[in-house]
Amino acid sequence: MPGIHHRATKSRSGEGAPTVPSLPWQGNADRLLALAREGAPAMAQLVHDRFADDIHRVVYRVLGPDTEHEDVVQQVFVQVLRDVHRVREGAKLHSWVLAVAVNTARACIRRRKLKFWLESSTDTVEAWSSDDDPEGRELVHRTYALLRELRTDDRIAFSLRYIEGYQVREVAQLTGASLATVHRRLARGEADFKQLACQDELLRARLPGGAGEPKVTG
Amino acid sequence: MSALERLGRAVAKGAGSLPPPDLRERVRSRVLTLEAGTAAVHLRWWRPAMAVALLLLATAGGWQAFGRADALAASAAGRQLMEGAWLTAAAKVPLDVSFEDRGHIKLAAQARGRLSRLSRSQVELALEDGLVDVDVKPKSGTAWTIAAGPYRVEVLGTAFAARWNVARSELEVRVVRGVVRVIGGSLEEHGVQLRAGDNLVASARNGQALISRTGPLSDGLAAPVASPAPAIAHEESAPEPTPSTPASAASSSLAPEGGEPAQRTRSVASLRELGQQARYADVMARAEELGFESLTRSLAVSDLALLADAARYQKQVARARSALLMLRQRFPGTAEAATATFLLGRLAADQGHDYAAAAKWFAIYSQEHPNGPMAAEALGRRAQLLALSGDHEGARAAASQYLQHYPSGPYAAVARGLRDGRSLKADP
Repeated sequence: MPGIHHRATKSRSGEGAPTVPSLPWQGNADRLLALAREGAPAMAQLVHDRFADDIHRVVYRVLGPDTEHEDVVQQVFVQVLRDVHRVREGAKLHSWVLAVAVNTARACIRRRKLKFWLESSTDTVEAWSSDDDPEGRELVHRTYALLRELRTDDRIAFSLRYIEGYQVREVAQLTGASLATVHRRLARGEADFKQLACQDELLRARLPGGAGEPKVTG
Repeated sequence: MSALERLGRAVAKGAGSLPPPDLRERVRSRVLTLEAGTAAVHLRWWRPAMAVALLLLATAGGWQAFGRADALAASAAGRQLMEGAWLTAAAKVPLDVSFEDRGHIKLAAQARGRLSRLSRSQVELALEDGLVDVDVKPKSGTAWTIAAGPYRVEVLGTAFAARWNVARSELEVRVVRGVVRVIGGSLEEHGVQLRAGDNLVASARNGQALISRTGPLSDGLAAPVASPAPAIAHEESAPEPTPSTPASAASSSLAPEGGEPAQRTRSVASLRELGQQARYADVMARAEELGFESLTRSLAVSDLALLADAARYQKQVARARSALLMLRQRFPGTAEAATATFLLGRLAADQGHDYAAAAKWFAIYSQEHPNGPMAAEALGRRAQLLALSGDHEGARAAASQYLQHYPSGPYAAVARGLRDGRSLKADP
């Protein structure tokens, strides 16, 4: 994807767990699109092995550690496999796949907000024990707990910009929004996040001078 | 770099760039079953879902009430869990899952599974691989199940360990206390019933199963087991375990302490059996025959916890309080004593309506177990109870403390109200 970095970083919890076989796609994006249009067999495997890490990472950044991660990622692949033949240029394939991932995660968040309203259910993260860095895990938990309080689009822009580290222009590409819209979402998300963070000791300590006074809601 | 960017980097580092490898492997397995062109079918779920959602909007109040009534709270690694949660123990660290009704499941290091059912009527752990220790308190109406490959281990109040070896398609079950039933695979149609001390090894690969009689469990399933026999074989029909089993954590020592006369030992054993059958009225009647106060001074920790449960379920507040206090006094530092502290608070609030006393017990729990499985609830309920007892300053302070630690916790809305000085109308 033009302008968007491909981040290849090490997984944090691989110790002792089975590893995912590495089967890199050898052809280029144009070749993959051609195969899709021909209805070539084993497209699912080709698409998975080419895009799995990118899709996992984007969904992981937007949702955080989440019980629905697996289902959301599968939905991304379902849509990619259904519509990949409609992508006209190989150069746009990668950004299109990531945009599908962002949109599917957005749908999950919105569906969950509706469910929360209906059931008063608790939006929970996945539970796993950890060999290392309990403070880091607590930071992750609290940050995503606050992000859940933001507007959906603000949350997505915030996650992609500050946690994944995309530039504003890249966030605009991934979310299909204009630069001005992304700037507006980021500004609102930052303000809301800081307002919420000032009520959390751990996060407040990491945002010196920017959190302001706690907002009292009645 | 701005503070937000630094925070984002720290979060990214804490979370890692990708979810655990086993989760990604599960996704890969699922994706490889998809074929281009047929995938559209899978996306249509949202249409009926949306229709149902719109219908539910009209009856949201009733739906909420229903949802709360059947919910069973569970937590692990400091997180509230919901149905469907994946549970993954790290390479070297087990994962403890605590349930609201005092049930407890521990996934040994490297074990993984999913809470496929979580309600007051049914709890089911789909064990994907590895060893779990299960300790379920007798409670009528909740069916506990461990699903492993083609097998299902159905539980009544009991403690047992189960291991599913996915590579060998082999299930091992060792029962520490109570009775379980294992069904599925090539086992008999109605399954196999295992009692305390029984050890089952069943292979889904060759259909063989073996039940053997073992000594008290002391090290989970680490001890080697016999080779499978061609059919289900009972190696030894041993009597019920004697009450003098060693007091290992797993065996829970269901016997009274010290050298009791045989007759009394049998009576205590029958008391225990009644408890395992959830016949709490009979438990209390038998305990009165044997001398309730005497029992609280002599029973082993798990039996005493059972007696306290029976008294609570029968709403015998004074008896329950006595047993819980004795748990704290005689077994300080144990999980049972910690739970007893919390239950003393709940007992005082729910059955004694002594809100000030209840708040004190929850404060003691918070002080003694700031990271305990009920820490969040203890803090939240304390804030509510202080308000109900008229201590509004204390309630405001407790609410602020709660919000500081659990800003998105289940009591967050109530705590914000208390902090902001709104009156409390809800029953804690």
